[in-house]
Amino acid sequence: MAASLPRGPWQRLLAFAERHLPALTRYRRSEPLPLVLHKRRIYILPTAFGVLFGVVLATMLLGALNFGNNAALLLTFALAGAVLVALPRCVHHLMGLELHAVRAAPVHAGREALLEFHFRIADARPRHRLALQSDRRLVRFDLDGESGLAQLAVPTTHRGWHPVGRHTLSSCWPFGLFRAWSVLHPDARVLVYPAPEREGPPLPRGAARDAGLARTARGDDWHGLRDYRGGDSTRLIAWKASARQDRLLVREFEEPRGDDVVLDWRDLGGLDPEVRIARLTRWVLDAAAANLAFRLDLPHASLGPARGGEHLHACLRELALL
Amino acid sequence: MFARTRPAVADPLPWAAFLATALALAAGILLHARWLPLPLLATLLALLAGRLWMRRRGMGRVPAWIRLAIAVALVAAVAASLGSIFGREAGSALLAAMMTVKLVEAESRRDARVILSVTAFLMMASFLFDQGLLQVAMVAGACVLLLAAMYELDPGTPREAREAAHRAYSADGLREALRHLALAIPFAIVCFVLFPRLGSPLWGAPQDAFTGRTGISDRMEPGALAGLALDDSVAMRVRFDGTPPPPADRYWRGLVLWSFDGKAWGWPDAAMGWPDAAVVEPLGPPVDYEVTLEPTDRKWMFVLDAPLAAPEGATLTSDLQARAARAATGVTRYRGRSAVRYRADVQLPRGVAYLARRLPAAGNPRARELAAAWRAETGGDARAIAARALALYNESFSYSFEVPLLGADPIDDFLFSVRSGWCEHYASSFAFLMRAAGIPARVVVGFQGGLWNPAGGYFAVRRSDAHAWTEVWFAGEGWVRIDPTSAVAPERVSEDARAALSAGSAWQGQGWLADLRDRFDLVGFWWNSAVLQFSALRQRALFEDAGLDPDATTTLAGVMLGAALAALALAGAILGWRRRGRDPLRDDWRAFCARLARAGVARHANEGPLAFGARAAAALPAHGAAIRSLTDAYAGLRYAGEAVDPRAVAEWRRAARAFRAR
Repeated sequence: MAASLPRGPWQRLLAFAERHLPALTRYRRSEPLPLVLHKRRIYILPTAFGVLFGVVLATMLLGALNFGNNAALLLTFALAGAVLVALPRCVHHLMGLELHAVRAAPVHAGREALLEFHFRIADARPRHRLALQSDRRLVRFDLDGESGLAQLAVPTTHRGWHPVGRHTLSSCWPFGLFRAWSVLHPDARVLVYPAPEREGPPLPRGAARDAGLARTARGDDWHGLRDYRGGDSTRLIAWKASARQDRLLVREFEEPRGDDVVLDWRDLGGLDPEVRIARLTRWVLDAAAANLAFRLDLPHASLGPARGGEHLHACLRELALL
Repeated sequence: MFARTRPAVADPLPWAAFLATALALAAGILLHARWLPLPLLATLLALLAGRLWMRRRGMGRVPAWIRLAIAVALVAAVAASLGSIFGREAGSALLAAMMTVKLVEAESRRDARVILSVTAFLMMASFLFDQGLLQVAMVAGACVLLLAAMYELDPGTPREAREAAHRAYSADGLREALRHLALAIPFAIVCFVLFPRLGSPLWGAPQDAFTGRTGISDRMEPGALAGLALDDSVAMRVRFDGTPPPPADRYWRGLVLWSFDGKAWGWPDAAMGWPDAAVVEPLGPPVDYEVTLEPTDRKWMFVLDAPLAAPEGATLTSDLQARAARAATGVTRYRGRSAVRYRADVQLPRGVAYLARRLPAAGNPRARELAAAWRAETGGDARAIAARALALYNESFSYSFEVPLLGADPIDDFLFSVRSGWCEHYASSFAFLMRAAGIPARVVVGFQGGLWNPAGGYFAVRRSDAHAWTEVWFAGEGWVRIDPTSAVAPERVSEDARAALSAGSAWQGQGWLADLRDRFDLVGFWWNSAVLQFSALRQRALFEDAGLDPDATTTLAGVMLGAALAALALAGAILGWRRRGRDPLRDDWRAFCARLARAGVARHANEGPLAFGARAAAALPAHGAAIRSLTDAYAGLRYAGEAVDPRAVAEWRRAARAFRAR
């Protein structure tokens, strides 16, 4: 990811190779989804165990030949044959996988984003013991049936769009003698919200500018049901209704508007832009936590006033991309 | 599906992988169970079991000093029980011991991988002792355990690890192991046939490579052959070109013993280098035959008495032993030509005559007295003396394997008090009597008889057919075979040792059991001829038959590479075929789509059945209804989830196959 990881000489060499030998590194540059793993982009090498076992097999071969021991020779060739059958099967274990989406619920910078790699398997062959690896993170997962996903937590450092980056999908199936891998560098990105300011002035309460009704998660008058959205409290889920409809629904209430909060970029003049964003982020979160209707005024946009999860996420998104 | 992230560096060995590794190692050690010293074997298995128990109980690592002490003690035990730490037996024992120690300390996957690799070698080493079919079957079983253990070593998901907490091998692992080994068979056969063989070994065989097998040895002590009497394993198989000689003539000459030390017969000190070749004059048509000899680890070969020529690769000694240049460590096949009726060595050189009359200075006084009395009574007529001795056996002796231990004068004990024994006792005492009477005599050890195997068309000579007889030199007649055992138990010669003791069991006689035995033996014979017999020479002949120059290494390498790749491709094709066969619904759907594509409506890769159906129905209005009903039904079947009615699938497949767009 964009984290500044220690770059050894090998990484520098790879970076150099990618800059100067694009043909060799074709499958390492980012590509649009979906990514289908075909044989030209799957690499395979013996593992250390594979090399050791090969040395043992060579020794067995030499011994069997020397003693003219045909049974031993047959055993050696049978084991060598099993190893050689395992090689294409290891490649085949990755072949036909299709990475069709990479998603992640937005997180604040500094937290770990949980990347979801969604795979499709055209032939529904079970693919077990796969490993997905980014620079220093690794997750092992199995894929059964026609689709599945792997979740990999990656650290985030700053707000904005985060490219998903380069990952390696690998497997040593079945015997750990070979490792087949393919580099997945999907042209996808995930949004990272700004990190809220840790300490600072409390949420400013402004005067009411509008009156009316707002649909909120709390209140007295029941308004209706709507689809669940990320950020909604689980306590609001209408479980019975959800079960009937086969999708998650949450209750909504109507409440008379109280005092609106106005959060204005321009009010924070004189501060560093990042500090402004961090403070606005915290205020936005505080306002949402207090279930206040608020308006966010940014240099290019003005959001609200409104309450609720959707508004919150819209505001955080604007702040992230500012 | 989802696993918590964890650092990639940790490499602990989970319980299932540990147990699988331990079991694979135990299997590898048990392959050597028959020749490892029993206390050592028991110790190794106890260490394995103890370590498994400790690990199961979650006890910590064994302290380093204890591991070191175990290792040192095991090496000392190997050296003490086998006399060395080098050689075939000691080497295998040491390898097994070291891997046991390794398992005691194994905590990481890396340790387990080392153990499994060496276990593969241990499995191969077991073939240095026994290449029989039974051993092959056991090694094959151990192979499956080995590969399945390797499967368990691959770090799976935490979910799999939780499931693996209570088992050793997963069904997946065993299935993959079996599948890979089965698919490796074509490759193994191709490589086995085509891989270049060594004409001569690169380095010498271990020193003890020729002591391991039970069989006839070069010393005949009373009791040496008795151990073989109950061993029904095959020693050699013989095919005769023409009519086989009658049972009473089927004497398989092995080695000739000249020197008697008062107890045992052994090889002479001097006669080995005797320069004169034996003179054999056939008195009938020669008999041609082919012998497939099981490994003996000895240099002597068994030939039908009396050999007219040495088998290929062997020489005939002056006393008609066939001796090969190299010990028969593997199965060997040779052709022989013999004369059943013959006259041998009518002239006896003085030195040989001396050796053939030599006895220890003292011992067995009563037997000497008896021989001297016979000599006096008959006036030195050798034939008459021999007849007296045989008459003595015939009158009052019996054939038995239950003989009390003989004392300091074994011949006297046997002749005058025990009066029962088996071929060794008779041959030994008869030769002694002859020599004591001044008649040249020698003991011959080999096999007698052989069981006809009608399924294979050969005689199976078993170890229990081991036999000892004598040859006496008569003036004007040369060496004459006299089998004193036949004077006591004629059926020993006409049938076999077991039949001589009892009326014979079903195993020996006729009936379904005998038939089964013949068939089992035939499989062993095939295994010997097809696999164990295969050598550099046979390989050359094979290449020449196929029109290839056996010396054109580049061509041969190409042929071998091509054939090996073809074998692997065959494995791949079998896999691919199996895979396609697994989802018949999808296959028929593809066939249906292909038919529509030929009619001009090709399905796009990203087009679902419903969308495709709508488009195809619009493009081919004549078949619109049929297409729509098939595509809709397919979508229903394909995406209905678990509860698909197999009858509905079958019905859909029938309809899809019947569909024609034109």
